Amino acid sequence: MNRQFLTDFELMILLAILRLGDEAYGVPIAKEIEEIGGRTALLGAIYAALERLEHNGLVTSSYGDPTAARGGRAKRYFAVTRKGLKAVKATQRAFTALWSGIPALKGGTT
Amino acid sequence: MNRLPRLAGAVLHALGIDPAVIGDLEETSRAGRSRFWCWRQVAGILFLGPMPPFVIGWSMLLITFALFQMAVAGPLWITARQTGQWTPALVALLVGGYAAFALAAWFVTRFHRRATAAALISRTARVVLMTVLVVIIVELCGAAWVLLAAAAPAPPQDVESVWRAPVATTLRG
Repeated sequence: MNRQFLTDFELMILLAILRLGDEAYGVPIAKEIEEIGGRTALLGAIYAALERLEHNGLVTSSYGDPTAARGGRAKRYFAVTRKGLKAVKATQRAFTALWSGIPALKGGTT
Repeated sequence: MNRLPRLAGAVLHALGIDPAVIGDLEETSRAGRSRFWCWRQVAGILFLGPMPPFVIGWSMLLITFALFQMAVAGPLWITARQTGQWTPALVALLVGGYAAFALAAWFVTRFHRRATAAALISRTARVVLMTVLVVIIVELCGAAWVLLAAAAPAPPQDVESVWRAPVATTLRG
């Protein structure tokens, strides 16, 4: 992938995965985005973004064991790759650089 | 305890959606989400979610058939009607059909490398099933055509003379 930067939604998903660690699958990712990110997201949109991120090598996924609480279906766990981590940092740097020096946003960033 | 509507699960399963996604929906449904919320998620998965192999395969198949109809089958069919030589048209249709299936299978495996073997087996099964269905439909159409042709009244031997007869009578009068 030549693209270094992420969309805001991709960035939120990657940050949610990083926050959740080993428990990062569809449901908690959506919950994290909703509760901490303050954004309601459809599972379909999250999975579409996750597929795209996986295709670009920014995340990897693996299937867990099926559970009765999920109607006998397995969980699909996601993890951020080294390349994904680099993309998150690059995006953060770009946002911070753009943020700084704007009088109207003074005090809005650390 | 709420559960994922059975129809929603069946639709997602039939369209080849990742079982993990359906499992996520089941889990959140059991956590107390409403049926409206479930159906909204299902619509989101169908319209925004990753395209399942089923949809990719059949979309490719339709596109290939449409292109094939415009570029090859149509002109061949017209020529066959004019010359009465149906064999090349039928052979081209058969070959084109298989080519379209092969292309669709290639697209499915191209986008779903993780499940290449499963996708290929599934595609092969569908190719066999579709071939059988097409053969049955063609045979039925052929039989219906023969029956209709046998039941229709025989056309007059000399259509032109029949058409001209009243005109000639009128002119004579």
